[in-house]
Amino acid sequence: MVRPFGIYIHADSLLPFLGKLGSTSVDLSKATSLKNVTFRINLSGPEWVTIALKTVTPEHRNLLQISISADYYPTIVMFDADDTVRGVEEQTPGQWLELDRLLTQLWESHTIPPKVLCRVPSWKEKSARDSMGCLLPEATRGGTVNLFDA
Amino acid sequence: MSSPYLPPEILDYIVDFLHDDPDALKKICLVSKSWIPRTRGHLFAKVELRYEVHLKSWKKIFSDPSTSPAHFTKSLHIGCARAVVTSDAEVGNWLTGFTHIVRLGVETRGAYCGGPAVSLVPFHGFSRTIKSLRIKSVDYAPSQIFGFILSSPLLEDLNLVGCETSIDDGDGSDGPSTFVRSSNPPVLTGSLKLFLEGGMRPIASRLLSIPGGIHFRNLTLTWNLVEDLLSITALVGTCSRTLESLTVTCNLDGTPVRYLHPR
Repeated sequence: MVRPFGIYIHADSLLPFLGKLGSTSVDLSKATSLKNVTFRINLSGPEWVTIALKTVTPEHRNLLQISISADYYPTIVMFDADDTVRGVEEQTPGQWLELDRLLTQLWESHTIPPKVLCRVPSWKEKSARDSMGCLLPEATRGGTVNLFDA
Repeated sequence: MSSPYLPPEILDYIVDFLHDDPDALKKICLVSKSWIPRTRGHLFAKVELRYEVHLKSWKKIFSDPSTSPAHFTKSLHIGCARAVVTSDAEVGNWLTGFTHIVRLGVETRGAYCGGPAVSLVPFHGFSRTIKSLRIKSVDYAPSQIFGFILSSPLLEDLNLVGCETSIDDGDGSDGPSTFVRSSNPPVLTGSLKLFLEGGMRPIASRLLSIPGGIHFRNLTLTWNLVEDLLSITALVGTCSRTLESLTVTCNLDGTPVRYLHPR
């Protein structure tokens, strides 16, 4: 979460669409012939992906691969008065952690676990592996996901 | 010296072996007139008229559809669709020679800056044989596109990019206005790709209303507007029995990084 400190000028508006999405997402529960699923996440955050993947069940026996590509993810960079960077925060860390748990559960609940591919961009000093390590710590540590640089 | 003779089946084998080597095929044409027809089947299987100059050349060289190699063409891509006018669809014009088109690509480049209204009508003659349709343009209204789809009974794959759905000419429930509704609608069992910057609802709602339903195996959907998620949900739900591959790309506008400065 972003910790409030001082008074800030927001360089851009908040993301108004996030509230509109609610809990709407794709229902995959009846698509049991699925072999490959790919989601490319943008500013919306990963919540819609998590909701969609929650509808994957053990009945999806043909599911071979889940690909998640975070082309870029919402980040807040906070500056001090002398324009030095005070910190970097992700705007939707809770959503990523929920996706993290779900990917691990999915991997464990399938007899033949689908291959999970994640692509994330490197951001300044953060490598793709570091970024995904922060966003999906459990899945990354447990070897559930295979990481690729975007 | 007598002419060299090769049994037809051997010639066929040689020409087929070189099907993906256009330079070799062109040289084969120079060997004997009798070798030309078989070679043309490969040389003209895929025709790309990317720019207007290509279109003019084709019309000039093959002005008579009855002798044109167009009937060999299985895949036709026209990258200068604005230069194709309605009169091109009239009997005897160059387009009528393309009688075996399986894959059709229609593209317009750049923003539409006036001039004669563009239309899919000139391509209507192909529609009975088309299995794969790709339209990349902002010139065609959803009703035109949908009318074309409905008139293509063999259509399996559909790829729509950038179509100007924001100038929708209906709510998607009133059917096509350009073509007569087909009594034999397409089964649409292949791939559906939608990248519609103006939103996918006008096209998606029409697809969902096709008699007999849609049965795509592959969906590649780009989410450009917030409300597109509802269309994506509906398309996935409708194709759920046949769906094997799903790609959803979120392409909502915005700034990925917010910079917060102390006042």
